[in-house]
Amino acid sequence: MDSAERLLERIASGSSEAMADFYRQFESKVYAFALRKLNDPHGSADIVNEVMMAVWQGAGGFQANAKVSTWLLGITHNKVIDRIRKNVRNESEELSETMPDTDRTAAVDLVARAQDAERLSECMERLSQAHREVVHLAFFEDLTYGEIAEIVGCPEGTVKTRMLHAKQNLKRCLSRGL
Amino acid sequence: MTDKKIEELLPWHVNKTLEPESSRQVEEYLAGDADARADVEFLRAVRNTLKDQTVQSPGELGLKRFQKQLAETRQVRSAARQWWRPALAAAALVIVVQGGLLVNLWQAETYVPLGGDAPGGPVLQVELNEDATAAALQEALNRVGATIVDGPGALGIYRLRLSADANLDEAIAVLSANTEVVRHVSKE
Repeated sequence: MDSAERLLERIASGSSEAMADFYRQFESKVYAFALRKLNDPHGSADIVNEVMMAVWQGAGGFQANAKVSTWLLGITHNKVIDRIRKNVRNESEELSETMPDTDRTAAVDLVARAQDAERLSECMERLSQAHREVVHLAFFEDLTYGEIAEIVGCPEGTVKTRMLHAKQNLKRCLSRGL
Repeated sequence: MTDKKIEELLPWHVNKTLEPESSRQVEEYLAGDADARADVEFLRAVRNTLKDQTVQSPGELGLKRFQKQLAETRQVRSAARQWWRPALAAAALVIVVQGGLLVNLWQAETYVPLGGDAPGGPVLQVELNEDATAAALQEALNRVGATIVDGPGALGIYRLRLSADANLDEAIAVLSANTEVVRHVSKE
């Protein structure tokens, strides 16, 4: 199979076949990121379509010195933001960014709870959208903080701060009932 | 690097994307700080759990949906692009008509028949195909000895005048058979 960069070149020249290959290669990545941000499978499937349409129309504008996945996740981020702006969601249950960290005596229990997928998912869903996406990009996609900053369009320092708050909020959420 | 800066780097130490120098500083810090090591264990557990989660993406069904949408988009664009074809044919006709008028004017100044203008032949109304090219139209007109005297009107109808000695029925038959250029032809 062609490299992602080569596929984009072919897409730019109108190859539907290359577009299908590109879709198969990246749709799950786009979907996972959208789902993490939206918590909505149907909306996330729509985002995949919108992102792939943007790729079809904008493949010629891809800068060869960029990383395809970073470029693609940046498009996904913007599409999700557009959708959220259209459907302003009630995030009243969102956890505060200024809550205190948990007691270190519970550290072992916290690790055990973080290994419980269902419980972790519940706590991830309660994070703000901005915190959730940073955790996803750092731990699901294994991206550098520089790449994450590029995708979400904010300074690297902001990415680090968001991650710090996300960690504290996850700990607090997971420690409930300990 | 301050402790806070090091603490901020722990998630990227866990996903192994730090530069070697930053990584070395984090390792040194971790060696002397139990809280930071506990933090790393926690972050590692979060990462492993997230990575183990299976995401049921749209897959091939999603691809089919996307391809259908893509095909629809292309059709709409293709239809939108067709507007220039009749416009081009109309522009070409204008050039032909203007050319004819100029020649007639020039001839009028140079040669004036004593008997006045020759009487024109019968007039036809034709509707052209939107895909018709200027060259094909010119050939069709030459074949039956017709010239455009009016049009296109609001409905896209052109009026053609045949030469005085033209066979009307034969001209209609020839033009009707030329489906590449003519969609409909009738006597006026």
